[in-house]
Amino acid sequence: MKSYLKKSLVLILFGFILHILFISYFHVGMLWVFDRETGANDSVNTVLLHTDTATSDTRGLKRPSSDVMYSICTYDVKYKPLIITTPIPDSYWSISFYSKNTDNYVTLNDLDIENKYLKVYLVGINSQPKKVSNGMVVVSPSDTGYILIRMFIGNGENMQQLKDFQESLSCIEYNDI
Amino acid sequence: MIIIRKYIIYALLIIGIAVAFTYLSVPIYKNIVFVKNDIWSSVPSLGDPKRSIYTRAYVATYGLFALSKPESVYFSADHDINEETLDGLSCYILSGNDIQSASVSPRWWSLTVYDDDGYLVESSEKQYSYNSENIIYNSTGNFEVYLADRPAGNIQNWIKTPTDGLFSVVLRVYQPGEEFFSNLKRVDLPIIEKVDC
Repeated sequence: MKSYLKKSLVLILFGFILHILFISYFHVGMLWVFDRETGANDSVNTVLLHTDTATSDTRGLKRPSSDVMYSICTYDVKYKPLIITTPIPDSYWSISFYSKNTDNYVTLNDLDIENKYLKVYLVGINSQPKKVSNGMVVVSPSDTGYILIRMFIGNGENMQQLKDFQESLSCIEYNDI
Repeated sequence: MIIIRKYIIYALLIIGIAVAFTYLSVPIYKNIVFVKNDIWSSVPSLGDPKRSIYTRAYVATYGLFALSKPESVYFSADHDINEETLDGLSCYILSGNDIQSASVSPRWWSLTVYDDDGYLVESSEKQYSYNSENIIYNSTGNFEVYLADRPAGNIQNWIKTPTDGLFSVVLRVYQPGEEFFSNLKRVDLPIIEKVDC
């Protein structure tokens, strides 16, 4: 009886550990699907995609907002920092930094940025640049991750202007380190 | 052979127990973490790096890249005021006050309908959502949105729901301010009522 109880407890313990592992790494599977559908693996340290507003054909990301235009950069700052530059519209705009486990570790919005122009040095733990000029520094807690830019479309009157802002976005490696 | 069979049975039992823990953890997680405001449920800071592994898994399931406090808060509703699941076979009116005109004033908000898989519902009008700038308010400053698979003559705001199948509504509120965050259970949010089609 004791042996049976002991075996049951061991099985429950292993079952619980497996459950915790599954929950802990579930996002990895979802990111794998996202990367596959967007081609993120082939487009590191560059602008991955710009989207018009989401439609019923939009896949890759569940529950997209159809009131926002997205731009996405994927990054790997293990060896070199990334510089992100873009002009900023007068309407709501935000840039969100996600580590490789999808944690949103920094978000800046249009009200945080002076002169309506963003210049951010995204650096890794071991890729700190010697000097930075005229820009903010954001430290990524992981070597890889994602950057999402959201632009509110409002009543849709300024869509073309917002698209021009999208096209001006640049995510490039910073080589002067 | 008998030993191998024994270990296969153990492995299957462990997987079964893990599935049971996962299955049981969903309602427990929702009861503990979700903030309820009438028909709406919310997790206050979905994208926060300090979130639990369960919240991270929840976000991965429902949207992957969530914002965190103070940038945005997300509310989700999958039932009406009579606690009945939102169903594409029925018709509903979502009605509310302008969230921006409340004592707490977010920068902007939006209401979006998603099918049961979490995607926007196919619509020839491509009107998947309304936001604080494109919604049509009535003369008293309130709004109504008709949720059904075909438009109603007397309500200008219409979002198509699935012809059959369940759906949910997500309310996103951007830069709502600290007061809004500290009153998530009490802030005045829209209601969803079933009506005759």
